Amino acid sequence: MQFLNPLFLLGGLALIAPILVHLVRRETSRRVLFSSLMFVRRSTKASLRKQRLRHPLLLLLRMAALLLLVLAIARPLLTDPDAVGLSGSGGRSLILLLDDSFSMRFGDRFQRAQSQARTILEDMGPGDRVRTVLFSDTTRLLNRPEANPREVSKLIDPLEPGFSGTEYGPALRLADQILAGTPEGSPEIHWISDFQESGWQPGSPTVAIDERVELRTYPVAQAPGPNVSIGRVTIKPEDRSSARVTIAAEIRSQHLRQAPDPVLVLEINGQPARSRTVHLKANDTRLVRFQSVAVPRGESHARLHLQFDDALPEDNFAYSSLSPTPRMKTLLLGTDRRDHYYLNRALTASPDSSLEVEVADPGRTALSGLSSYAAVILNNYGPVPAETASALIRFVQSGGGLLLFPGSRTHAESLRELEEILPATLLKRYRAAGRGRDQRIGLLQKRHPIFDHFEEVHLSYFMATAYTDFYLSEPLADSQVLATLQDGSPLLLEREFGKGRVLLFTSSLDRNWNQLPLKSIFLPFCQEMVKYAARFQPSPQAYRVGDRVALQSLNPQWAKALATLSTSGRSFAHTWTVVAPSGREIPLDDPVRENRSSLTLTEPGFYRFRVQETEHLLAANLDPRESDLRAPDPERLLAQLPRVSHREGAAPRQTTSLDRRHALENRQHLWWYLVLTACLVLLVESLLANRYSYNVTE
Amino acid sequence: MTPQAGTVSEHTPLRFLDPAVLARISNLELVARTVVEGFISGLHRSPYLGFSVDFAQYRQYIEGDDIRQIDWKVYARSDRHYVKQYEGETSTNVYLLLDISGSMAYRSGSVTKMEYARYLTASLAFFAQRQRDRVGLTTFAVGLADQLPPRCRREHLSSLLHLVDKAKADAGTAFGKPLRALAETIRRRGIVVLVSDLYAPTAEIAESIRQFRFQGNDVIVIQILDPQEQRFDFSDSVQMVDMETRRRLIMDPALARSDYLEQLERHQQEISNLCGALGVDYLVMETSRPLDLALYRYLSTRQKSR
Repeated sequence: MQFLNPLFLLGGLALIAPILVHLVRRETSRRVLFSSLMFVRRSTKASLRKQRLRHPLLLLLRMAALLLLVLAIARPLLTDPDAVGLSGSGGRSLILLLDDSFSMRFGDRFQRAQSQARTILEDMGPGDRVRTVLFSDTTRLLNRPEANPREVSKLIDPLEPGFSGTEYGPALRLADQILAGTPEGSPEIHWISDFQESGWQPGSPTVAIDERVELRTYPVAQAPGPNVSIGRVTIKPEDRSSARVTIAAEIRSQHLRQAPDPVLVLEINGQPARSRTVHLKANDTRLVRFQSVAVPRGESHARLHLQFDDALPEDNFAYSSLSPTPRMKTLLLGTDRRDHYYLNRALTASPDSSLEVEVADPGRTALSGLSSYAAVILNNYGPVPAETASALIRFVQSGGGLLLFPGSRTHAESLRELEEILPATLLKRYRAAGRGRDQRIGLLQKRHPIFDHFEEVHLSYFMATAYTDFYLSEPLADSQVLATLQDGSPLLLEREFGKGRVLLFTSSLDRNWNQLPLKSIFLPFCQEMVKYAARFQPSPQAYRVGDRVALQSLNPQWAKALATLSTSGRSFAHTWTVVAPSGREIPLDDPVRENRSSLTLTEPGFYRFRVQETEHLLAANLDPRESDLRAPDPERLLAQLPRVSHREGAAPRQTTSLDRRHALENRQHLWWYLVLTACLVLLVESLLANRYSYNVTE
Repeated sequence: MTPQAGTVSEHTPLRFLDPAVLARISNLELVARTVVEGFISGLHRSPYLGFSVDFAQYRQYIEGDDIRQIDWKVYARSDRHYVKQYEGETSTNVYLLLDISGSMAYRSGSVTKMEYARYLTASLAFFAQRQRDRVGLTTFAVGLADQLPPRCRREHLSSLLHLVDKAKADAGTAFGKPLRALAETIRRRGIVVLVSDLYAPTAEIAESIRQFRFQGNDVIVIQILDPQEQRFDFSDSVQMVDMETRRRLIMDPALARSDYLEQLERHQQEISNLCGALGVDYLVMETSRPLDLALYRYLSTRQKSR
């Protein structure tokens, strides 16, 4: 027999108490004043001797009750498993961390990992429990605590490595958390992986493992063989029509030895278009460009194939969509085109700009077709006519973005017709030119999406810009001030109206009122403002395996169809079909109803989305870091892994054997029986004590 | 001589005055009058029992004497002024000794031993005053507390009753020192009435009584006891606190009862033997019994002393 809290056995000293009580006869009783005890004292002394002899049974009962209570508090347990019928409990608590990332496809790494897992399972003792955690850049618990190694082997045998990247941190954190919530058993993590160096993501949150957890590593990477791979691929249109593009691909090699140079083949819509031999050294990186590649009209896609026979063929391919990214149409309204010089240049500076800007005069342009624009800019405008204002208000209500940049032609009354949607009321023009009272930015919401992408140094240029002229304004209650000048005057305001947004910049975007157009931040600032106002989200030409894709973002028409389905309640799966690159059809079981209008990409290649009569290809590429097969010594990884004495908020483990004893004690509950027995003893003691009388002197 | 509390009260046709009823009367003189008048009417005899107007002797007139006291017949015969002296000067001195120790504050019923002793003392004083006896009072505990020399005037009775009324039980008991001091002040023999619970060593009590007796006094020892002190029938285990010494004792009274009663009886027997040997009346009075019995005993003693 053992005790969970053996120190409490010191409470056994309390057994002296009843002995002392019986010896000293100290007892609190009803207090009675009596005239004189001169005749009592002698009789009491005489009776004391008799008491000691008369109540040994009472004394024994009291001592027994105390002893039982002390034993109960010390939490006894029977440690012989056979004696308590708990054979098998209290063993090890194992976590099998099994790497199934893409790099495990190299050679027979994953088969070796499975074999290692089976070896660990075979070594399991009768009281051991095992859980399996599969990890790549995601983490998945494969099974609940299992004592039968065969059952776990059945789960592991059919597994295959995936195409995802590697992140060790989340997997280790999950394993540690599982063990923290499992008090019984000796905690052990068995980490089976190729231990790619890239698995430690820079900047990932620090993982700390309880120092009492035994962490064992099983590297399955043998001497790395030759491997070539395609890394980052960029596609840049050479003109605004995107009829010709330049495709650049990063080609990497590792451990290449006396092999023929690989050939990089470019296929457009499944047809070979270009090819080039890439001269690579043993460990090399080359950039290969295919210039002036003609892109067919309509939906097109490109596949790059690096023809080389290596142990990891999947990373010899790269996939990309060639369809031009839908540009965001922006209408720039102003009386004089010369006023838009800086703004227009900023919005259309590069051929691959995602903005398509049209310039028009608000007085001469019919504003009935505003719905085709994502954003409308009123730059240095005069008075806005009522019908123009009505059209703009409807435009914003339906989700459009409106940007207002005043100038020398603007008066405080110019925007009266737009008061309903303005973020502020313009008061009067502030003129500091020549008076030395020009203003600079005082406060800026740096975390706002417009400024969030900028480096601190760029923001400092922005904040250092002097504003000689601007409009004083009175912000509305539901508007948000994104930037203010030193005197507290709002410079940039935002207001949500209906489904759209309105941005008001109270100074001009030319050089008359400030020098902002000459600053390097001017171009991205203008573009970010327009994109933010129009809620623009560009879709990439290729996704990465592991990305989660919102179906609505793939095609605007599909988004409308999805919205229609959600309102009609019709089945989603009947109209949508998604086929993975491997050819398997991905079931979309009514994702609308389940609010699952997104898909996680798990394979490299082209995903085919069929909606009604249209088909859309979505390119998914491997994480290039997975092709970097460099694997350091696992011991070095372990050395970098912080260990903590105990987790915050969790009960510290005394010893692993203590955990086991806790589990045993919890099952046995011997203390409960002891307390019950003590109660019975005390009951008998009470009955006896009522029969006995005793005197106790002070 | 043995305690006679039971025998006398049961066979004498006295009015029984319940001490609990007397306790409701706040005026001590009224209490005493009630007791004494009731006692006298119960006797159906003259209230001036033992009063003497017998001629004693002539004394030559001196200036200041009441001229009404001059015997004119003697003057006619002898041409000298003589005044008559009568037996009135032979009235008894009554010394009431009241124990006000802490133990006298005990009570199990509605009346404490102190209250009972006060009624008793007041009644004795009242009765003695009616008998034209000179009554004095001494209260004592560890030492002498208050002392009033014997007088016969009516105003004196008021002072005495006032002294009795203000007597409060306190402190311990010591018979030797205070009673020795009292004995030294007694110049004329009389009746010494000791009212106490006698919770003191027998030797100490004996020394005091013996001293009074050697002076030629008649001594009446009245022991006031509470019924509970004589029964000692507490039910549960209690922590007893001595009212004089404040010492505590945790005990089971049921177990200690027989021994206690034995000790008490032995103590009373020793006192009784002592009183018998010295010719002293010893009377035990329970606070639940009428006061008349003490008066009866006083009257008997007075008649005997004459």
